[in-house]
Amino acid sequence: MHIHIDYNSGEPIIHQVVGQIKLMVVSGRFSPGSKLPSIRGFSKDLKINPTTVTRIYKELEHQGVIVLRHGQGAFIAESQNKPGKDEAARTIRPEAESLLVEGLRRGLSEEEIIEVLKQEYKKIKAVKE
Amino acid sequence: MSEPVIKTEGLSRAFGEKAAVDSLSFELNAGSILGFLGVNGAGKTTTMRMLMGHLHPTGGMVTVAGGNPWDWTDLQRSKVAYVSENMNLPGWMRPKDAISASKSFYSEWNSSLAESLLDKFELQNAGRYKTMSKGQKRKMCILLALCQRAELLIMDEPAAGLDVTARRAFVEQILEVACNDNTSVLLSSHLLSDLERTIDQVALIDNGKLIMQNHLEDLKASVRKVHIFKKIAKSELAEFFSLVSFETSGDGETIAVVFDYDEEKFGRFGRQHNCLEMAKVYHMNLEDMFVEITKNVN
Repeated sequence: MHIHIDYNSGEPIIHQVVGQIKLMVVSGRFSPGSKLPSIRGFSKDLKINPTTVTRIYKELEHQGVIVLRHGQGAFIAESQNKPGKDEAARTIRPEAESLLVEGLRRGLSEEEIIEVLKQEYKKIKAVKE
Repeated sequence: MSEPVIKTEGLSRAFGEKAAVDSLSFELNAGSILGFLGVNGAGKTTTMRMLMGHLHPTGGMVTVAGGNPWDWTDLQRSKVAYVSENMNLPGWMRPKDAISASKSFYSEWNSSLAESLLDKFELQNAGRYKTMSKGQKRKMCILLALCQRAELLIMDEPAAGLDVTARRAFVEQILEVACNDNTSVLLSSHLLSDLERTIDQVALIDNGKLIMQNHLEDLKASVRKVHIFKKIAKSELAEFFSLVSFETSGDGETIAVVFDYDEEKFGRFGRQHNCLEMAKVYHMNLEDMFVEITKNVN
């Protein structure tokens, strides 16, 4: 598992790592049920504070990405937390709005913005292969 | 929760009229790595010396490793390792001599770690202490402190004078002892990029006073630099956020650092002042935060 942390960006390490693990799950790199490293192992590999790793795992559990089994470790959740489509759409709506604002402001058309999204979608799916 | 490893309440030390440490209260929990930050003369070294019982407080109380450092039993004393800013070993000692001398003092001495650190720090052929370079001396002192298997490590500018490779090795080792032995660490450093990789807690002091103590990740999540391409009055922004710094430029831009950023709140602010599309919000790394906060506390 390769995870890149950018220390200069100032973005919380938790956000960076949680985002990358979610990408690995979404793209199929990590299949449901697979085991994540122990907190100690993860801390050693990434060279980050073990307390931070604990918080990363708690956040992933909270978001339904992994399950923590007592004494056994952390596993990718069998069923990824799939709320109703309406709720899911509501969750991503603000991001979609700001994306649209940015795109329109820079002179892109509706179709061009949708095309960007399609390309990004293909990239994520391509990670799988 | 277990008892904190360090706990101070109203800890103070005055030198004549001057208060070097002024009513300092903070805690360090087991297994935590705390970065102790402050500009030169902020009172970091004075505090650490009081934590070690090398200097009497003129006020307040301090508990370290379960006792007052002035009343420590030998056992309590052996649980705390200290690397001071200008620590020295006898000049005739070779690395092996220093290691065997320390080994006889500490019952928990970690011999295999000593061997591996001699390698990692490239000290195998370093010769006598008096002929070592500044960096080698520093590495020797760090090695001795790490191998005590102490419950608490107090380190004053441990990485000063170390090259990049040695600093990385040092950072890895600190994480390893915190991880494997649940050792707590208090360290001061001006090399904030190293600290950023290691610590989970930050305490910032200025003029002997504690400005704040927080989880580094929480701090990074809430402190933001906000750049608005419109002139905003300080009071308008202060209504929504607690400000670290605020400035407006002549050509109508506003740049501010806020302590308690929150997307939803910023959205409301932006709509109220009609500037949502004119704003950029940036994360800040530890060094940038440190500079902004210390610049503006006075």
